[in-house]
Amino acid sequence: MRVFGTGAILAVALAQPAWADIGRIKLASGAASIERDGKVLPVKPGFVIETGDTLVIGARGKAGATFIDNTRLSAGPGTRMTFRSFDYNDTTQQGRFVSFLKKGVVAIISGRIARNDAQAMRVETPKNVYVIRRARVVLNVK
Amino acid sequence: MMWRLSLSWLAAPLLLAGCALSQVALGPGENGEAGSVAVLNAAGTEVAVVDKVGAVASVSGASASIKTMGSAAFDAKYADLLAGLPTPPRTFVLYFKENSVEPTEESQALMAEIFAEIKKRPGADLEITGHTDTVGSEEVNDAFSLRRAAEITSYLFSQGLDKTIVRIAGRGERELREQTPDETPSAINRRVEVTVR
Repeated sequence: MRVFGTGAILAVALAQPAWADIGRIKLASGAASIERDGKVLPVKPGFVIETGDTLVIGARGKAGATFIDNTRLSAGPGTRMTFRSFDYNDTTQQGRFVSFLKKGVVAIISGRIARNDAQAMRVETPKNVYVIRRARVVLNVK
Repeated sequence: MMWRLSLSWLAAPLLLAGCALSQVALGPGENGEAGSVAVLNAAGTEVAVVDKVGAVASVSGASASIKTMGSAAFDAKYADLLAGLPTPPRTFVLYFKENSVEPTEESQALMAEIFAEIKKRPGADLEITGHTDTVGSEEVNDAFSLRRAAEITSYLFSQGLDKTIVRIAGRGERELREQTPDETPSAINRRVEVTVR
């Protein structure tokens, strides 16, 4: 077995700063922003989503995001959704993804977290909790 | 009496609809699997399970009423929202020359395609995941698969890949492309998968 060069080890080290991200915005139009620590940050493709962020979509806005476990999300007008917790192990591809949909409408195609654990992908709403199992769903909170 | 009973039974969901707090609709799955959604109340108790494609559950706390809209109606009703879903991730599989960390000729040719795919996707990010065959212990293979991913990453960085869009992982021998017994060499299993999201 060949001894790996420092280049490869350096590559790993350099890639680590991306670790805090749980997903990225892929498309956004109209009023679409992330609320983080009391700040409102407008989003555009490539915006890095972190645990605790709240996605806020205006009356004529929309946004789409892909998470690091390949979960995909499309949020429609009037949506307010907080990504409360996101744990993901790249090696086992298991974890837990809990978000809170306060209002609005979202389409979700579940990713690896849901595929590998039927209890792990949850969307909470003010009165109920949805546990998503390898599915494509639309959730709507009035 | 029966008539009155059934009427009130029917009316219950309608009355609740006035204060329907949330709704879930199950669409056709991507790989032909319907999937399912469990609905829990605030206490965590299961209220309903939605597992038919095209079913819609209107939910308020402990009560859920399930209706069927059908798969075509689902696609039509939510067309705008579904169109806003990001493109599915695309995975490229790279193989190595025998006893080497150098990619095969075919795999080297794929590198250009990876860059082309990144260009096509606004806000793209990459996951570079190494895999091993079943030769060696799980611990060794976890480390080895990560190094294999790092080699490819290092190469892609040298070709100008944006360092801020990359995650590296080693899956060890957990995800075999070719099913083999333990301690079996396999060139197909020794690989790096580059997923462009």
